[in-house]
Amino acid sequence: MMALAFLLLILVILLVWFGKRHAAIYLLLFTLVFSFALFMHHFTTHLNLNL
Amino acid sequence: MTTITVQTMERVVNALMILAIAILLCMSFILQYGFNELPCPLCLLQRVGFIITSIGFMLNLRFGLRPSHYAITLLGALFTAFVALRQVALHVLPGTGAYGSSIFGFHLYTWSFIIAIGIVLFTTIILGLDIQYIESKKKPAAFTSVLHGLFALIFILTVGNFISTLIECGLGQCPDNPLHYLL
Repeated sequence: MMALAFLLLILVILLVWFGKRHAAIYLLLFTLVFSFALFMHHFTTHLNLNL
Repeated sequence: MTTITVQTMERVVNALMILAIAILLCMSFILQYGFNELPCPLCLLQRVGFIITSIGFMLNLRFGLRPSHYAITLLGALFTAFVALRQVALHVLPGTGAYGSSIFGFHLYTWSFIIAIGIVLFTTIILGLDIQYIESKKKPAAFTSVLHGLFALIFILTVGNFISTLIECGLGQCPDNPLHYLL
């Protein structure tokens, strides 16, 4: 899953490089949300919460 | 100071910030392959955060200086700081151990937190210079070759991170305390 975050970032860098500003920003925000979800998953599995 | 001078200065500062983040990512690769320190999931997320931070600066160089680009940099740096602080919290109590080696007495995640907070403070200061957003007839220096060089550097480092993460974790969840590469 973590590799996917880097793959998304590669796409974002290519979009910036080729001048696609809006697409790059939207994909970047999606990557940020995705990375945050990975972080929250890691965080909550360590807390052993009974939700 | 004229608008054009401030814009040129800001572009140089943005380029230097990208270079600094590239050096940071290179150092993490040196530690990973030179000293066989495998990155944990939180370490990888900190790398993601630093790359997002650098993309904010790259947007500034590619499309011109805008507050929205600095906002992306701030989001990336805050995310990095948040993840690093979580890792600091995991190991801050005596007897809970540490992850990886330390540099100048601080572990890498502590440095990561300090640097991310430094980027937040610095970006907040430089985005506050209103004169840089004024459109002038004269265009600032393009730095075309420098710009492409920096983009290539960050691109190569991100591809390197993608491949190394794929080798370490595959497509699934990364182990909390990785001891060897999966592939």
